[in-house]
Amino acid sequence: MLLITSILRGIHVKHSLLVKPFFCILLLILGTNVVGQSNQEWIVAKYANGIRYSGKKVEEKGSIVSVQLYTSDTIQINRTDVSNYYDSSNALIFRDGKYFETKGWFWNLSFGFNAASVVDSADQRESAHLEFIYARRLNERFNIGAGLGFEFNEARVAGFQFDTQFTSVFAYGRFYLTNSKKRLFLFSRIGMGFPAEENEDEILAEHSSGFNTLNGLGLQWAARGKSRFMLTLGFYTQKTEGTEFFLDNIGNEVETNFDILIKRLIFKFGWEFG
Amino acid sequence: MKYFDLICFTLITAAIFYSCTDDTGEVTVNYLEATAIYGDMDEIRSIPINEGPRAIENAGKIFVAEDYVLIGEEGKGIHVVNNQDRNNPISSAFIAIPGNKEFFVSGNALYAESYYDLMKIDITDPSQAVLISRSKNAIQDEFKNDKGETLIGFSYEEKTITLDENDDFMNEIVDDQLVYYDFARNVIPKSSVPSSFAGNSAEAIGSVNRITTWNDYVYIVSNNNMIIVEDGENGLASNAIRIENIKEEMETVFPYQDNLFVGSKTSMSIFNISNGNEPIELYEFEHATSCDPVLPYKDVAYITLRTADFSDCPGNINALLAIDINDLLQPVQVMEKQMASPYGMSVINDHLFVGNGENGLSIFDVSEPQSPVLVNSPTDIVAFDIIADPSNTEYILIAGNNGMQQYKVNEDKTLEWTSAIDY
Repeated sequence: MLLITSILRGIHVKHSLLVKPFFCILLLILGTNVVGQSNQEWIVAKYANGIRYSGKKVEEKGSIVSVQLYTSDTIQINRTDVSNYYDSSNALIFRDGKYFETKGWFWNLSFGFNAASVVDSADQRESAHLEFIYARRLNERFNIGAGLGFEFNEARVAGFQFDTQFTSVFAYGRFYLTNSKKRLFLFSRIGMGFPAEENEDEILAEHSSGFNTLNGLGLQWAARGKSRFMLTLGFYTQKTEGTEFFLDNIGNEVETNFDILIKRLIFKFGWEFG
Repeated sequence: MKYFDLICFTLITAAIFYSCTDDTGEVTVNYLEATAIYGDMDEIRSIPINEGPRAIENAGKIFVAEDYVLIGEEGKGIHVVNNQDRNNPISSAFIAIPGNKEFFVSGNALYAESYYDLMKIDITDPSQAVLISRSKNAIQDEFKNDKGETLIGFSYEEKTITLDENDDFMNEIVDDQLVYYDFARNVIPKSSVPSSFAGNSAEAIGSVNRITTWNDYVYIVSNNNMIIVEDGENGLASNAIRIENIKEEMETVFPYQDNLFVGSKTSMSIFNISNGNEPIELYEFEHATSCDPVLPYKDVAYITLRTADFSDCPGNINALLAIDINDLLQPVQVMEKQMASPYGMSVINDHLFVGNGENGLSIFDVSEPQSPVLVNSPTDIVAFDIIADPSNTEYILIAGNNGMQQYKVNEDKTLEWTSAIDY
């Protein structure tokens, strides 16, 4: 940690915020991805009644699979009797029975905020992002899908603050860099943000639609069930134009027309299902 | 990929992302640029107050007395209109009060602000007004430039500028909220500027007051501050008591039974003033953010809320509220009626008249104060404020777009036009 801190101080990255503990811990979580590789001979079988077996595949004849459990006992599982069966053909399975699926559809729910606002007192632009993704695992490495996002951002340009809210529709792609139990991945989304229709109290600025992108890194934890926890750190951009009115201190109206690109480092917590 | 490579990749990527997270773009700003005007206050204070009649150009406050009407000329003084003949009001004199916007009449005394000062003027004969006393710098200490000249106002020029993301123009002038006017090239502390220098004159047309008197004190609400000036036998005290930040964005003040009813954009507050120079807040009734005259009547306080659709006021409610004030420590809202665009109001003979601006006038029977009953709502009248005729309850005066109209109120509460004071 001290070494990293010293290096970052030397770099003089803008705002010198990388020395902040939160950011360093986050980077270390993302970076120290050192759990062993998956063992492709392991299997997981789940029965409809909730019973679950995981162990080393010894032999497979037709639908009958012989599995050596942790206890060294060997049992036979009829694949036609189980509701879910995972092996190297459809999952990355680890010794403790945790796994990642590598085939099929999944959906994802994430909530995010401006990461910089946590570590940098000078950057208090609020961002609140909610994201739904429905995607397909093409293979062990690639996922593609589409999603819907709800994104509130306080934009600040030339000292003015413009509150914006978008409903986004986007295409999504993910590429896994590792096959470890904490999988590091790159992700990218590109789409269109549409302004919120409800603005009765005129809290938000009147603004246009605009394209948006979110690209970054993520880390996903293997699980024993159908849901997995993940963290992402991404660079978000949103293009928009609009008009906002302010009252100055003596009640005169100030009209501003803006054409801006909102940029944020967004940190997200996510849960993936399926 | 080796883990060391991954760590480096992650760190570098995050650092690159972080270094470019400032929002970028362009902002075009249309605004009024304020340029400070400085003057000699001693010279201003020496200006004679009595002048001959002059045309009304920019009407402000209105006060109706038995035989005359006082109409403020914003920043300059007060017109005296002889109204002895209700069918033929005549402008008869002008009381010169430079820097005046707010004034209040109690008996034969006129209390008026003049830039930083509060003046007390005897208007027993309004055409021959007599300055009784002047409390210098009662409202605010003078703000002077490095030449020793005193700030007496601003001139405004409409400007359009285009700023890029690196331009810190706005932050430069509002840093630490030290400036009075966001877009002023002249950076002037807000705390040094009397509230009378600011504001939209259209909002001030009418009888809603920021100045009032009770017992031996004059009370002035000025933004967040309350100013109290003792008014003794020899006139106004030279030292004013300024209670800062007593309530945010105060707009109106109305005395009622040893209490001050103070209306702000977000609340109606009740201050007990039994001890005149030490107001004690008894209660705050919060309401939607809006512009809100307050009118206590019997055991009820009426409040009108108006929205941004019809003015610069914030909020989205147009309504008349009635607050039960039997227990001043626990006022309770007992009624809310949706209105078109309520402005000023007045009670005459158990009837509440509420101006709806361009949408006309609403007349309520308030013989049961907590349950107003609408009896008439003429829409062919522009009514921003309603003023009772103190000597003849058959007449009312209504401030509209281009002047004040006098009407006779018939038994059935229909209105009969009698004359106009144009401005």
